[in-house]
Amino acid sequence: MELSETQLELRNQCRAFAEAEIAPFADEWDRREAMPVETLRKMGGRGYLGALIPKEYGGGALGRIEFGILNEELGRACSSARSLVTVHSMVCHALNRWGNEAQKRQWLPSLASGETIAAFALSEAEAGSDAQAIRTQAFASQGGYRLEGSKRWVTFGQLADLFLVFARLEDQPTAFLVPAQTEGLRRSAIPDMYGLRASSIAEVHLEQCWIPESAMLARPGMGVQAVASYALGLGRYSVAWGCVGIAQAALEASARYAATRVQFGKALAEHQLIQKMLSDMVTKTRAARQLCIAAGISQERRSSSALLDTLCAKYFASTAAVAIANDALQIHGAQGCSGAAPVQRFLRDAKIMEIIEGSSQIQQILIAHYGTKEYYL
Amino acid sequence: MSTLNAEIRGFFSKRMPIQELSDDDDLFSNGFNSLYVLELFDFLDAHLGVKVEDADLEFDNFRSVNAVATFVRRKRGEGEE
Repeated sequence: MELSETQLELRNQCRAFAEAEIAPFADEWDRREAMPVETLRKMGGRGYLGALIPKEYGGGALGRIEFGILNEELGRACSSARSLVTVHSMVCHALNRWGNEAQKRQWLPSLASGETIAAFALSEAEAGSDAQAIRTQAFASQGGYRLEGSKRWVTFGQLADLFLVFARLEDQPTAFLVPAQTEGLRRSAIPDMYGLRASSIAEVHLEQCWIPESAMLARPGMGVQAVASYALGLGRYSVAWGCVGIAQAALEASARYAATRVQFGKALAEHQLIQKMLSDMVTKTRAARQLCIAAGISQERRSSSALLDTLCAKYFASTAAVAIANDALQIHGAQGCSGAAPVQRFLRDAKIMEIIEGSSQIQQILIAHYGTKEYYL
Repeated sequence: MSTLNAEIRGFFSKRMPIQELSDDDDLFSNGFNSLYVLELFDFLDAHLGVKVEDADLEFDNFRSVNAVATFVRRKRGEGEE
């Protein structure tokens, strides 16, 4: 499928911003394990954080393909920057779907502008892929709720202004909107991550953390079934496109390097085993992008295959990104292993993509369960 | 057998791991999970014109084909068939 003129223009604008404001600094942010808040605000100012929020709340109301293009272009520059769009959009998406009007009016305008940064606090030490196993508790208290527990691997948790927290209320998983300044909420950095190192991963501790009744998002018991699943569905799609961005960046870097690096009297690109790697990279990158486009079209049409198309896109794009970044490192040799080239960052970031928003194994289980029925009926 | 039930059964039959689905089968004990719940909500909105709101989030509304049909009729302001 070809992109429309409008979509191409959006891609050019996103690329220009990412190449000027993000890509030149991505390796430094990776080493420092942080992005400047100023950059996050610039992303907000460009409308990237409110991309999916309806216009009536100040958002951009982008279509799914356009949102995908944004994720690819940010992912091509820096996966940590892309991950902000992912988690922030997941919270906005869930809030817009399940929030009441007062909650939407309270939060969506500042989330759309980036004045408020949102984070998704679901995982715990004992609850990863098995989200229903969360142990954080919510107790009815003084006309509101008291939260007790800890959340892990919270992307941009060190900087977020608002957390979407999942806790058990009378043993039922329930979602709550918790401002970062709430008394009893404390966060600590999780350093030395393998990839997405600039995404300010945090552990969030909730001790005697009281929130008003109005902070509950959707009704008790629907925290994971409705709210988290809805958010994660978008996250899966966003990550899939982010993987295309990593693949594209790794391919471009490899093509350039192979064209200029001379060994045995000729450019690497003239060696057939290098050509084999480059041809696989080109093919997988194009295939991953087409699967993402197919998923976006299915979602926009609300097709019955939307879930399966998105699962396939995330599974293929994340495994392809790892393979492509791995080949990119191989082509770059020692140069690629050093901090002088970004390809080692691409590989580390790509590996994380196989784990987040549903690991490859979870995608495989779901595809096997859901995607094979039409072939044997 | 109503057209509405047939439409709803058609949605589930493409997603459930069981071959034969009766209108009273408990969907949640037959492999219907949270991913499908969201697809069901989308299906109800896009194809049957019923938007699932927070107040509708009761498992019993979605426990069987008959339960979903009853829910749709109630949201549409229709009586029982």
